[in-house]
Amino acid sequence: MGHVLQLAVNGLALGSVYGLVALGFILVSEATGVVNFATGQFVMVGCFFGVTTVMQVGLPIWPGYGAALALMLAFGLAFYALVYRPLQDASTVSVIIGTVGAGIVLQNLALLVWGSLPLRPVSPFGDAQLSLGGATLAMQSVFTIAVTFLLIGAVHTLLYHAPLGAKMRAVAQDREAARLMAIPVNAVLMATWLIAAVLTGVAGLLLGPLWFADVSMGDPIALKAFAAAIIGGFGSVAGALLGGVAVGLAEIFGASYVTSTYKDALVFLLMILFLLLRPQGIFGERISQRG
Amino acid sequence: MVQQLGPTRRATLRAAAAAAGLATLGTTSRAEAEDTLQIGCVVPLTGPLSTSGQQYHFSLQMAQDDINAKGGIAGRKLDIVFADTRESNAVAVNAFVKLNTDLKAPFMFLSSYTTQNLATEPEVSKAAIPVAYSGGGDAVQERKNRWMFRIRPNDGIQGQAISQLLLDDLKSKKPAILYIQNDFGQGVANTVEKLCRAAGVDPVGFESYGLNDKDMSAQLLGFKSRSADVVVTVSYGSDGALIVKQVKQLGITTPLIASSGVMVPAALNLLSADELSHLYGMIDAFIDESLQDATGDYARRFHKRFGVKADPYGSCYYDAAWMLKEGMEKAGADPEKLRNWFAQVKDWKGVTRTYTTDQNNNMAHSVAIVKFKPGTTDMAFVRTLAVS
Repeated sequence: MGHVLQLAVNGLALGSVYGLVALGFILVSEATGVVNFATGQFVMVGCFFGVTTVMQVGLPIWPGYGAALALMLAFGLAFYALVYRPLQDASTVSVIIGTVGAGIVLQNLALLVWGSLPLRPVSPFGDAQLSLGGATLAMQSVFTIAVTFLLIGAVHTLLYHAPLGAKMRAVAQDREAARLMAIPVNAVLMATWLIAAVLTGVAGLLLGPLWFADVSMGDPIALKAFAAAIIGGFGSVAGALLGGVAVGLAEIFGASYVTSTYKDALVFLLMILFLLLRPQGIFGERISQRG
Repeated sequence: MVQQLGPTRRATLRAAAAAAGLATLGTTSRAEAEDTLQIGCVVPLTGPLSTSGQQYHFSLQMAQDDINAKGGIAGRKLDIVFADTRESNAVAVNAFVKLNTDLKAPFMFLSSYTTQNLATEPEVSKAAIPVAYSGGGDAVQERKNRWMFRIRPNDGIQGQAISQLLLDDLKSKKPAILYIQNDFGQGVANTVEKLCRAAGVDPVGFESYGLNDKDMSAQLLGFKSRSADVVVTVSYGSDGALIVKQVKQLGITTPLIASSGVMVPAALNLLSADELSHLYGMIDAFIDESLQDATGDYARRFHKRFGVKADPYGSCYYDAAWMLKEGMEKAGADPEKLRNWFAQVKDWKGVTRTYTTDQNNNMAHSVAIVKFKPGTTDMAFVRTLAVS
């Protein structure tokens, strides 16, 4: 029983990481109607901004995190201005390809700036662990789960209960109609990229102490988070969390009881099953049901 | 844990400059042919494999300067020209073909990645020049390419050495093996499992993980629940470091044996003294700055010049460059004669080890066991395991 509980706790911790990154996908998708395939690199940049502010500049950890998130705001603004804005009136495919290209450029820039060697960002909790009914979990993982739930709630409130969220969804559904309704479309889109940058920056700061900082860290995480977003439902904030946890549990229990060699295949098989049988995911709505 | 990032950035910029310089080779190599000997080197300089590629790049730069300070090779200045293989087999093959065409060199250095070397192997045969490579996978030697010389121990040796440590030193009765799912990981893990079973010891766990996996807790918890008395991890750098960290987090206190890929400075810098306390490591050779011999001198100069510690993955390239100097000065620049010189190398002493070429063109036949001084991240030499 203790073994199963430990696996479940680890699956939850892993899944909350995927859920947090999936949030980055969903927020951009909800507001712009496109999938940002540079999301993984956003996470990586956030992580390395933390490396710079805390490890290189030497700021105390919490002010260092604050400074890193401020840098992520600037990064989001730059990404909006240099990548999204020039393409925002182009076809969806063009924007998606633009994000793929930007992701590659970001990874190579990170290699130039921070180098190829992995680093171990410090955790605010050191090596502290929490015992829970026979299972133990690093405090950093507990903190990550808590922050994920908090941010899921905050983003849900923003998107579905705040004026800005309503505008973001309006812009995503019909940009021209939103403009005719006097919604400042460009400002809303810019705000979306800024929030997405901060969210993924938080994910990067949380992940660094758990999995090390590495300029190649983005894509593998983003791939699982993308699967989480599909399973949970691309249009659903709560779905990000549920999808993330589903992927995390499938990975951990699959590796433990089915096969460690093909555990990723199990995860992506689950994703394919959802695409075939319930393409809107667990919580998502069909496009035809929107509006 | 504050780490200096400067050297890495400079290294990357140097690599970029080297790649850019490659574009001008066609016009410069002929002009310099009289007094300069250009030798090609195709290794990963960018991308996820560059952690190790950087060591080869640095060590060969050092070898080039040291050799030139001693008069070059047969009176000609040595100029090692680098080309980036990234993490791609196709890029590795193209880099080799381009350098071979442009330089027409009598010798080349290849990558340490078996899949890249396997892909390049047919081109080596066509080029008909001797090459030094350092990948451990048996698949390369199975091609029986007479031009390819391995300057690192092969994976089979590492598997045998891990088994010796596991069975003879640690007296394990319930070992568990975790390995990276590729030719290297599976090859070493299979050897260890086979030798354990031959000794009447059945591993209680035999699990794998993918290169990009970040959470190996499911496999490790399985080992713990089956009361494994030693855990073996056959891994590369940062993934291996992650496993060592997770072993500690999961409260596994049994001895942990890590393959040589984990025992590089880039990976060990990620770990604390506490996390290293139960770790035994396989390492190609013990390269330490405290040694008062040519090895220690190399390690100290390397660290001072590049800002990172030397490792035996890189130092074997340094040795190979000096072997090349001796070979060319004795056998000349004819590829066939140079190849024959490399094939008869016996008890050649370098900074990494003593090299002897066997019938499969393997030149390295031993590994070292290390552990860590209590409460520190300083490596302590245990012993050398020579395997025939």
